Amino acid sequence: MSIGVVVFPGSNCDRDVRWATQGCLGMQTRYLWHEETDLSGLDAVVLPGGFSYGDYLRCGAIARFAPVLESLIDFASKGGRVLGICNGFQVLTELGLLPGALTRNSGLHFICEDTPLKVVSARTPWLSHLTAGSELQLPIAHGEGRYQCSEDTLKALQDKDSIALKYNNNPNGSIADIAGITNPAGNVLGLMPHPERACDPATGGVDGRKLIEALIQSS
Amino acid sequence: METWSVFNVKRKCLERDCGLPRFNNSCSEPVPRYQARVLVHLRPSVLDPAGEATRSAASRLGVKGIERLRIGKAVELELEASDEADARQQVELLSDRLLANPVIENWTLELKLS
Repeated sequence: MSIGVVVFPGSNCDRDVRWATQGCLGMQTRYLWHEETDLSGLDAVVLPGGFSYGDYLRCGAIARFAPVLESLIDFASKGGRVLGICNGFQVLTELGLLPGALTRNSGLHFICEDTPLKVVSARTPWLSHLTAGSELQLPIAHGEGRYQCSEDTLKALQDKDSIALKYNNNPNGSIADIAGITNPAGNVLGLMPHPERACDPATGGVDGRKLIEALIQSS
Repeated sequence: METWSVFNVKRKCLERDCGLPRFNNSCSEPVPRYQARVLVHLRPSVLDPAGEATRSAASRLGVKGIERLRIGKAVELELEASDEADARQQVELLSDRLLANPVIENWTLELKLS
């Protein structure tokens, strides 16, 4: 069982993720440079937070064309688990693996704080250890995390039970308080909060542990 | 449409060949060069908090009466293409797939012969 963490130029949470997966939870982890295309032997891939390619043009817009992501589309279509955190979530929407887009926080500020979240759907392996309606607390750290999508897309997300997490306090103005969504199959999760920063008791809560463990958990 | 004089053809060819005069210069047909400007703006339904903040600063500056202020971006580029239709097709692809995210943004294109 092995996890790949993509490293783009400008990623800055790649080491945080590896500390969570390997350091805290003992799961074998290797970095994937953005030019790599070989994802063989991996059970899950994490797109970490940061500022891939300097977030030029739009967050995630340039990362979308990285060679590693061509392989990732194939990986995800075969059911491989993909977790996009913060900038990784932005990349997944630009790539089209998840619908919608992430835009400038309504209050313009970069927000870095612990945020109370509510589980909307425990349908997928990511949150199957919790029940819908239960709460957890994870840190956020973003300037462009306001989830936006069309009314049709929102309805499709609701109909397919694809809204995974909502903010209790909606710090960034996201439509329908959305903090994280999955694809209909449930193997791809994108979220703005950072579960990898809530795995080590030395740096705060451990509410992110189960979510990170779901990378290799059998469903 | 600008027409290419013989002089122009020769000059353009020399430019492309790093300005070095050559015998048997194979460059007899000029490739037209186009200038494009793509304007990317947020869809009207998408909140533009940066535009709102700028509008409020405008009123502090003393500029009154601004009812709407939206911030977008302009991308200017030059490209070579066989003709205007080809140039338009290339820039439209670029705009749709890279310069703008159709989920939240619209774009318009201005194109002219360079």
